[in-house]
Amino acid sequence: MKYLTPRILIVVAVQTLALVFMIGMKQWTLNTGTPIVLETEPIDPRSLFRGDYVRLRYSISELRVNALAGEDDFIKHDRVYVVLEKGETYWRPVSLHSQAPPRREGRVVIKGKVKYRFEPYGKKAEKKKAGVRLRIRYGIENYFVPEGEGMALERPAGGEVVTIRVAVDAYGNAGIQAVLVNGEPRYTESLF
Amino acid sequence: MLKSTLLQRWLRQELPGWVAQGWVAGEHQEAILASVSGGRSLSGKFLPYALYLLGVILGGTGVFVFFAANWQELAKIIKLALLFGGLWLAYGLAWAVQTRRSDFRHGVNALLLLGVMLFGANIMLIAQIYHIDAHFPNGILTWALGGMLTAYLMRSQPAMVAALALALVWSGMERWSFGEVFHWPFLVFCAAALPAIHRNQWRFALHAAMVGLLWWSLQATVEYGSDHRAVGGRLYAVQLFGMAYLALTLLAARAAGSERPRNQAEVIERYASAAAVFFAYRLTYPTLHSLGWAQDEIIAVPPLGIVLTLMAMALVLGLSLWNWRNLRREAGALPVDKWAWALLATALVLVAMSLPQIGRANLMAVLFNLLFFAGLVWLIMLGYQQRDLFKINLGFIFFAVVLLSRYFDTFWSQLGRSFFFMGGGLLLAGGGYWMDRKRRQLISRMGAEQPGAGQ
Repeated sequence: MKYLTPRILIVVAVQTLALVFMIGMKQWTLNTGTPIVLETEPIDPRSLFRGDYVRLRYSISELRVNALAGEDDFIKHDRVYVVLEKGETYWRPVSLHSQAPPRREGRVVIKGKVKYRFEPYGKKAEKKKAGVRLRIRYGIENYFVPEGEGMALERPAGGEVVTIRVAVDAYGNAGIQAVLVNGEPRYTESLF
Repeated sequence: MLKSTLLQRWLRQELPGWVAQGWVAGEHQEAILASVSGGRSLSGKFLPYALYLLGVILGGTGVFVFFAANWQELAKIIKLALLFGGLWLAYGLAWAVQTRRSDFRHGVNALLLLGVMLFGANIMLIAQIYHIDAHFPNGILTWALGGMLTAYLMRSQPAMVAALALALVWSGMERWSFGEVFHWPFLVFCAAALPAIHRNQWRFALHAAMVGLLWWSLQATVEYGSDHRAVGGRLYAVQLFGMAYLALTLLAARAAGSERPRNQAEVIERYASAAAVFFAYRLTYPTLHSLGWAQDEIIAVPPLGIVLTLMAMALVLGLSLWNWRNLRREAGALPVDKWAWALLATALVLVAMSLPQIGRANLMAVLFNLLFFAGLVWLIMLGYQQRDLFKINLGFIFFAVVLLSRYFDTFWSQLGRSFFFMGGGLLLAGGGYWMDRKRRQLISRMGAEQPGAGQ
């Protein structure tokens, strides 16, 4: 085969670069993003623990459209930008947008996708709008931990509070920086 | 002339007798068979090839399992070293084997396939290590693109087949998880694979591409309109896909006339014609022509559906005109060309009648059923004229399928259960026997009409 060595070098180089790019994108988000602390919610105890992945749900995972400013016309699979501002301990949602809004001091914009749209059944149109809820996925709902340690995070023991420190970059991408138990880092992310 | 597969089979039976008679020298048998098969060797090279690939896949799996058992104890840097090192080693070995044993193409392909597999495994494991939980189908797409790159640069058919399979998985994920019913980027991926498939004359990869395309089409038309508000839209989708595959059949039939891509064009023609017949079969169902769950519910006619249907009709008409001379040549004792025009005209009229959906579901279904039966008879006639077993078998198979379907539709609620199943059993056994007998008679008549047959 003609030019065998350059061909195979191109294949190896491109595939290696693709993998390095994956790592680089994630690390860029973690290193340059604004760190925020999100409150987690308990996972449905009837759900089975899935392997070594911890499934996480946040207070911002399900949002009532009428309780927030911004836009309200979202359907399943729509991209949504959620503006967060710092509360007493945790960051809270302020508004919803279909396009990335301008950044403001003290606020962070996190990007997600609408997984489900819940509408109340059998109510009138105006009451319907008040009751619309969106389940949103931000890409920070799974976390891999060493085997056997996941259950403690999904169902923390009495008195333990699990929170997640997330970095949100300028484009709204989020990455888990650390898993905190009672405010102390239990797992922290780094390049190596 | 019989199509090449049937001819090869017939020649294999006849050649020993000819050699015994002294008509043909013994050493010329293989050359004669090779010439008929278009240079494709009929010897058993597939088995060792398959074993090399299987061996590499199993070996690779064993390596994964070994590391997976001790994965958590490893530091991140060691994990990365193993992942990248494994990938480079696989491609490095492929390079080494290719340079030292350039005739050992099977081994090279097996190692290239291992490299593609490791690339995918690396994507998954890096996503796990760094908790990358974004749009997960993108990982499969990246994997598929890596396979495509390997296939193009290293001329590896197994890598291309792997890339096509991964692209189908990617498309399925986008459809199931993110609601992309018509996931058009999959077609772009298939189109990107075609130049390599054509240049290298990869038959297996071509089959893989066509199977993937058919599956994609089927899934798209099943899922589009599953919401009752879009039932009318499903009719357009089925019609469009049917006409698209009919157009592809005509294109492939035309290309089969030229020398080099003949074998590939024949493969495409067969898949496309089977798909066209399948979508025509779907048009025989009354539920597809109904407006919605309630008959008084009027579904808004999508303008885009009308425009696309009209464009597809024009395309099919144009290609039919372009192919007219070829079809005219096929006409012998049976006027397949004239009947083809009659069927096409009827089909286009029926499609045009279905554009404004104003509640003629049962009438449209009856008309499409009549057209479909006529079309199947024509297909069997054309297959007989062309000595094409595939068309004959396709015609008979769908004849049986549509008969059974109408039996179920008509008598399921009319007859008592026991009579329904008894009748169905008789229909299957008796009808199947009769049809198979007719099919065999047709095929044996085709063989008897060959020049030199029976001498």
